[in-house]
Amino acid sequence: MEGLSAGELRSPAAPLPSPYDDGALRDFSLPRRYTLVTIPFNAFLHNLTTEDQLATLCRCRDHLAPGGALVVHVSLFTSPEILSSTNTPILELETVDPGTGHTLQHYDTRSIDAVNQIQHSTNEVRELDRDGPLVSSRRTETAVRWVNRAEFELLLRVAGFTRWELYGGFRREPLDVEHQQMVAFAWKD
Amino acid sequence: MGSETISDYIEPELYDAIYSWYREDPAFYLETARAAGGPVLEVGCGTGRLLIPTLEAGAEIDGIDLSPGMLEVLRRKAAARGLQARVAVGDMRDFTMPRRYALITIPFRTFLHNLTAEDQIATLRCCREHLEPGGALVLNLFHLDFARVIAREKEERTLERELVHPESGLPMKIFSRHRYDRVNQILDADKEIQVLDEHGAVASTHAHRFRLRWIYKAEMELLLRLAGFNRWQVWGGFDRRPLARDTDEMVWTAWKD
Repeated sequence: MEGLSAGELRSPAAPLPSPYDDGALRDFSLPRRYTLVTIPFNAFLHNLTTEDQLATLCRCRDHLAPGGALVVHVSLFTSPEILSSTNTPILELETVDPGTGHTLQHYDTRSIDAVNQIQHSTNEVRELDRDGPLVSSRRTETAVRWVNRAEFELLLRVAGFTRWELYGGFRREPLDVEHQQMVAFAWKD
Repeated sequence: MGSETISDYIEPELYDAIYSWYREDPAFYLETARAAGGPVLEVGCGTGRLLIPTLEAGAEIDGIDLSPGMLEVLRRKAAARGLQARVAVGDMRDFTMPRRYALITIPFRTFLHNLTAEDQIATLRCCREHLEPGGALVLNLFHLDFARVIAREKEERTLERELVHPESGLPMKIFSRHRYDRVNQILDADKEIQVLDEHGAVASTHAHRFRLRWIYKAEMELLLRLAGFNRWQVWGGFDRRPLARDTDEMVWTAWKD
C-alpha cells in the first residue's frame, strides 16, 4: 500500500479489499494502476475454477500500468507422495503460546481430488494446558486448487499476457524438478 | 507423432507385435466412426491397428502418420485384405488434406507426442481447420496415475511384459525404464524389446524410446480453448463413464460449432 495517502487509506469510498473476502482476487477494482501487483503465499490457489483463475489474472492485468509486472508465488504440487498423507491428521506445527504457556498444535487432514486438482483441508488447532489436557479445539475448512507450470502458462496466455518468466524459488533459481515452488513474473507490454 | 524424433521409435514391423495385447479402444473408435455420418480422418494411424478395421466396416476413413515405414506396413496389411487405404505422410501439427471431415480422431495417446504447448495448440488448430461445421475431434490421453509414478520412480529396468509374436510365434520380452519430469510433465520411456529364438536365447534386441508430455484435465481445456474450440466433453474411459480418478483414461470430444 506504499504510495497511498493516509486519506486514501482511510477513505470509506475506496475500501481496499481483503484478500480473504469472497471474490476479492477475481473481482476487485482500484482507482489507480500499478507497476507491480503481487499475489504471494499461495493466495492464487484459492481460485478453485479455471474461470476464477482467469478472472483473477485479468483483473490484475487490468490494474497494471504499461510495462508493469504481476508476480505470483505458488507451491507446485508435483510430488505424488502428497497422496500418501491423505485422510490422516498430520501434525504440521507445535508451538507454545507465550501468553498462556499453553501448547498449540496444528493438525491438517487433507483429501485430494487429483483429477480436479483440488486439495481439501480440515485444519484443527488444539490448545493444551501445561499438564496436557485439551483446553480448546478450533476447526476450519479450506480448499486450494493446485496449478501446474504448463497450465499456468496457458492461463497467462488466455488472460492476455504475452511475456512471462517462471522461476523455481525466490532467488530466481531455474524451475526444474528439484523445486517445489514457482515464482512467476508476467509483464503487461 | 509430433515433435518427437522417430529415430529411436520401434521398427514398424515390430510395432503391431509389441502392442498386440492392447485391445481397449477398437470398439469405441469403430462405433464413433460409424456414428460420424461423414468422412473420418485418423491422425497418427500408424500401421492401421484401428484404421483397417474401420475401413473394413465400410467407413470412409483417411489417415496420416509421420512415419513412412508405418504407413508402408499399413498399406501392405490393407492390400492383403483387398482394401485400398487412403493414407499419407503428415505431421499432426501442420498437415493439409483436400477435404473436410465429420470426425477426426487421434487415438492411442498420440497427442502426447506433442512436447510443447505450441505443438499441442498447432495440432488442435490444424484438426479444427479440417473439421466440417459440427464435426468432432476425438482423442484419448492417460491421466497421470500418481501411485504408479511413485512405484515406477523407484524402479530401474524391469520386465514389463512377455508376449508371443503373433506371426512368428516366437517369444518376446519387453524391458522398460520410465522417468518422470514432474515440473515439465515429461515421461521418458526407454524400452528394449528382445525377440527370443525357439531355445529361449535372445535372437535380436530392438530399442523403443519415446517421450510423452502428459496433460491434466484443466490444462487440456485451456488448450482446446486456445485452439478455438468452445464446446467439449471428457469421459473417464472408452465406456463413457465420468472422469473421476487419476487412473482413468481421458477420452475427449471437442466440437467445431
